[in-house]
This record gives sequence, C-alpha cells and structure tokens, in this order.
Amino acid sequence: MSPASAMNLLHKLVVIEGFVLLAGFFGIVVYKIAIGEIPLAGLLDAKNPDGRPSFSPARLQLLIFTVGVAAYYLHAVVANPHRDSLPDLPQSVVAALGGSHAAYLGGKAVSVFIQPLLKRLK
Amino acid sequence: MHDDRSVPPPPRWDVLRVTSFILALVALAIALMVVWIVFFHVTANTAADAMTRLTIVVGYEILVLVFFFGLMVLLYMASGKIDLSMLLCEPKGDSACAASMSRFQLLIFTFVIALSLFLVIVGNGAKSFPTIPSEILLLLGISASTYAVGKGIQASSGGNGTAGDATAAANSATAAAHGAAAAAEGAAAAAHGAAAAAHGAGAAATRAATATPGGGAGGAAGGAGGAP
Repeated sequence: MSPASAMNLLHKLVVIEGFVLLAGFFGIVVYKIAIGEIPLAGLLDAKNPDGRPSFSPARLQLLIFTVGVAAYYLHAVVANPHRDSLPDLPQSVVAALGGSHAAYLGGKAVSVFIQPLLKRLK
Repeated sequence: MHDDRSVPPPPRWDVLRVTSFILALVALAIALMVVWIVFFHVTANTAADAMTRLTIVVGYEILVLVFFFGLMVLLYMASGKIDLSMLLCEPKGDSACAASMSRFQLLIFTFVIALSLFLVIVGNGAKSFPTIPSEILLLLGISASTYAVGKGIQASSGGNGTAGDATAAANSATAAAHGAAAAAEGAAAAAHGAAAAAHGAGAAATRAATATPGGGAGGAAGGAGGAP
C-alpha cells in the first residue's frame, strides 16, 4: 500500500465516520421526539396571567418561520453542495427571522410583565 | 439482626457497561493494528519516510479515537443513561415540564447548520474550510440570543427561575455558540489536514519515483514537508 492510497482510504473513512456520528446524533434526538420521550406538549402554549396555559399565536409564527427558513437553507445546500462556502442567506430573510423572534420575545414579555400589571390595576 | 441497608450493593455489570468495555478494547486493538499495518505494509523503500508514516498513523488514530468516543456517547444516549427527556423542557405555569419554543428553534438551527457544513465539506472534497457568511453567524446569534433573553424574561418573572439561571443561560448560550464554531473549525481543519497530507505524500511518491537513488531521501523529505 502506498502512502497516497493510505491517505485516500483515511479520507473516505473520515467522511463515513462523520456521516455515521452525525446521523446517529440526529437520529436519536428525532426518534426520541417521535416516540414522546422528548415531549413536545405545550410547545405552542403560553402562560396566562392566572397561570393557565393557552394557545400563543406568537409561538406559532415563530415555529412557521423557523421551519421555513431551515427548509429553505437545507434546500439551498442540497441543491449545490459543491461550493467553497456555505450558501448566503438573503438579508431580507434574516430581517424577517429577526422580526419573528422579536415578536415572540415581545409577546412573552407582555404576558409576563404587562398583563399581570393590567390585571392588578383592574 | 442483620441490616441489609448498610451493605452497599455490588457493582452491576449491565449490558451497557460490558458493551462499553468491549468497545474500548476493540478501539485499542484497531489502534494497534493501524500502527502495525502502517509500519509493515505501507511502502517503505523510498517515499514513506518517518514523517509521512507518522502523519498517516496520527490520522488513523484520531479517526479511531473520535469514532469510539462518539459511539459510546451515542450508546449512552440511546440507552437513556444520558437523559434527553428534558432537552426541550422549561417549567411553565403549573406544569413542571412544557416544551420550550426557544429551545426547539435553537435545536433546529443547530441541526441545519451542522448538516449543511458537513454536506459542503464533503461536497468540495475537503479541500478547504468553507467560508461561513456573516448572515449565518447572525442567524445563529439571533437564535441563541432568543433562548437567552427568553430565559431572562422567565427568570425575572420570579415564578420559575432565578436571575442566576438567566445569567447561566446567557453564558451557556455564548459558550455553546463559541464551542460549536470551534468544533466545526476543528473538524474541517482535520479534514483539510488529511487532504493536504495526502497531497504531500503523493508528491513525495512522485518525486521519489523520478529521483535518482541518491536523491530519493531528499524528495521524500520534501513531500513530507508538504504535509501539515
């Protein structure tokens, strides 16, 4: 075996190992989510001023934006993986995602700080 | 009367522990076997001088080490010894564990960026570390900041957390971002190093094949110099 072929074999093994470990980590987390061992209950619920959970539109829009941007980016990578850099993300998409996160955090802050205050004033 | 509670239980050699022990032995055996193969079966007459062999051996040893470490972590995660049930949990209202949107989006973006980085590195043949656009760093920053700020809001509400929790969350988010970036850089640098070493070894072999018998050692040394 020549040194060059030994290094080629090493290169192939590194790729296989990376794939196995990455797929293993992702697979275990996704599997545990699917069987309910990592619970998703209450993902779209926010706490009311009286302490009860209720549906939160701010969380729903954040979920939609997150899944949308993630799918868009994965598609961009899979469509052309032969490149020297990660694909660019348009500034408008980043701004929209930032707005979505701001809306989520704003809603959370309102439900935690403002709503109890209003309830007390009433 | 004999009290059973005072006797410590004997150590349990459950399946997982035995499997881990066997895996460690297998890793050691493979590591030794790699050294043996490289020193006795990689062509040694001209090009494969000491540095080239060392480069190859170190590459294989790191490969074996990382693989078996990763495999054991995977095994422990799959068996539940590393508990993932609270991965997305935050205390919310009366519930002790409700899924957190900020944790969930951080998990999704981490998965997507890690997978994208792996695909791009494999796609370009590990020739160079892919450039990470500033927009992606911004996206990861937004994602981690949302988690930290959400934790801060929750802690300041006084119900389900403390200010210490919020500070720790902010610190851990920053550390996680730094750690992820460093790990990605390390993985890509290793892949790049392997490719460069292969290039260096190939160049050494070419030079050695064309060199006179007296100049073979110099060509090999030049090739090894090309390896990082």
